[in-house]
Amino acid sequence: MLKDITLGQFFPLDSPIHKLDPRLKIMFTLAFIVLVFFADSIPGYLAVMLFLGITVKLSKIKFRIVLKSAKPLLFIIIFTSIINLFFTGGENVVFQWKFLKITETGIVNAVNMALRLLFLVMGSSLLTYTTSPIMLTDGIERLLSPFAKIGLPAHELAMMMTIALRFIPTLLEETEKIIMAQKARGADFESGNIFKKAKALIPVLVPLFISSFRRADELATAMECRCYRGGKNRTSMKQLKICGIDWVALAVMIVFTACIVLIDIFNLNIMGY
Amino acid sequence: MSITVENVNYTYGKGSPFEKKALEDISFTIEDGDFIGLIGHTGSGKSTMIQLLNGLIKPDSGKVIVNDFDLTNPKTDMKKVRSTVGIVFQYPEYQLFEETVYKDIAYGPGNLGKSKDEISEIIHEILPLVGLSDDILDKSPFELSGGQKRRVAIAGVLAMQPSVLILDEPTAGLDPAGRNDILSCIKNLHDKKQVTVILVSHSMEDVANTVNKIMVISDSHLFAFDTVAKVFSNSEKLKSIGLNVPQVTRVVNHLKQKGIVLPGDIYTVEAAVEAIKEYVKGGEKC
Repeated sequence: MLKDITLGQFFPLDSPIHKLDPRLKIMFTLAFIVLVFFADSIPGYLAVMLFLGITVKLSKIKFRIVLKSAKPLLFIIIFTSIINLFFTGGENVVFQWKFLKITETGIVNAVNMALRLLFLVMGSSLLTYTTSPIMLTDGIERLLSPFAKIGLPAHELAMMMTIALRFIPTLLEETEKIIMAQKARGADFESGNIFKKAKALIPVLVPLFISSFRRADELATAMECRCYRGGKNRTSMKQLKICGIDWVALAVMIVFTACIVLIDIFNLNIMGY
Repeated sequence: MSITVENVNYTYGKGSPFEKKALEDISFTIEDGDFIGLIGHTGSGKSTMIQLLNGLIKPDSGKVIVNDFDLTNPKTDMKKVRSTVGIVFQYPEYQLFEETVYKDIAYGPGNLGKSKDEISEIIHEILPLVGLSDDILDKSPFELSGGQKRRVAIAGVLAMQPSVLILDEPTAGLDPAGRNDILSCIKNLHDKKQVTVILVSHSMEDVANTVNKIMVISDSHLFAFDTVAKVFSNSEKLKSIGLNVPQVTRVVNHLKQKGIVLPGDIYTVEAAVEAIKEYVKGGEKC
């Protein structure tokens, strides 16, 4: 049951997207997010959709899985759309009932918002689907390393992320074990109102907290024993290198960016703002 | 009143790429008052087996019946089942959570709806059984030693007054003294309260010293279920699935091969000592 949670899940496949340098992939994802907010016309969305579709296809990950990544955010997507739909001012009223009114701009805004959020989630989950946690943190560390000069603990941040990711499955397993044990002691997690249910979780949360602290303590000792001293003068076993495929990806990304920017400018001209 | 398991199958992650058969066509009957040792390799299906016995998981097919409760029937009252079959999981001390030992032991019976007086009575009855004294009750469970914590956890399950007690490696990670204490506690419990006990263990010595019947699970199948003597009499067969007889039985078997005449079924150190003493005495007479 708990094992079904897909949080930053990585699908180890062999594809060009998987092979890309993680630093580039992170930068591309950031660029993609910005571009999604640039594209606010039908041709713009088509371009984004096309780009996303081709990337998913190349990554060999099933489209259904990428689409499913938006599921946890479905509520937020629907909520923002509804807010946009009803509370945007504008001239052309399409529908009015008492204080609720839907305007043309409202509809456009709602669709805009929903599509943007959807693309956003899908694009960023593609990053975690195609990049192993280790590569991801490696990439983040290298990207942040220039800021180390102004006191940003890049290595430590990356290490913290690595450890956190590493412990997610362990803690899930632990939680399942504790739930089983408390159930065997007659615990009831299903019935009762929300307060009763929350209270029933105490016998699970307390042991879980204690064991996470114990684990953290043990891990710290184990790291000390192996002379871990943070990021200073530390080299990595796997050196990140930009090679052929990365240049291709960079070129594609530049073309995509240019497309979106051009569509945007062109669009503004037509609309005559 | 007994435990009956009929043609039970269980598969983890059915339909997913991680599908794994845990139990295949298992059937057996455990009589009231039996003391059973459950042995098998890691991943052989032991843990799945014990979870089936109190309805924490449901079999894919087959029947599990405990004291007239049909666990495969969705209408069965699970709380009653859990008060009938108590499970002490591996490293049970990690499930302690209350402020005081008293409150923690009271958690189980409280869930079953027992009154405060009843609970207090139960706790005072159980503490000596697990070898703890009353002054521990007001302490926090987290300031106790490892062995004490484990006893408190076991007491927490015993407080539900189960008629079947399942213990999953209760001696794991304890020192020899702690192990012996826990084992004699369990034995004591079985003898005094007529509780049916299932002891999951990796140690053939622990099993040989305490139980009267052994169940062997290998590769999700029931490999053997018989008296201690019978299961340990066939060391070759046990070796073929990567298990072994107790060390002392191996020593005795070697002695027999060297032509020393000893009685057939020896699987505890005490019995071996007696037999060898007899043999030596007999030799002196000649």
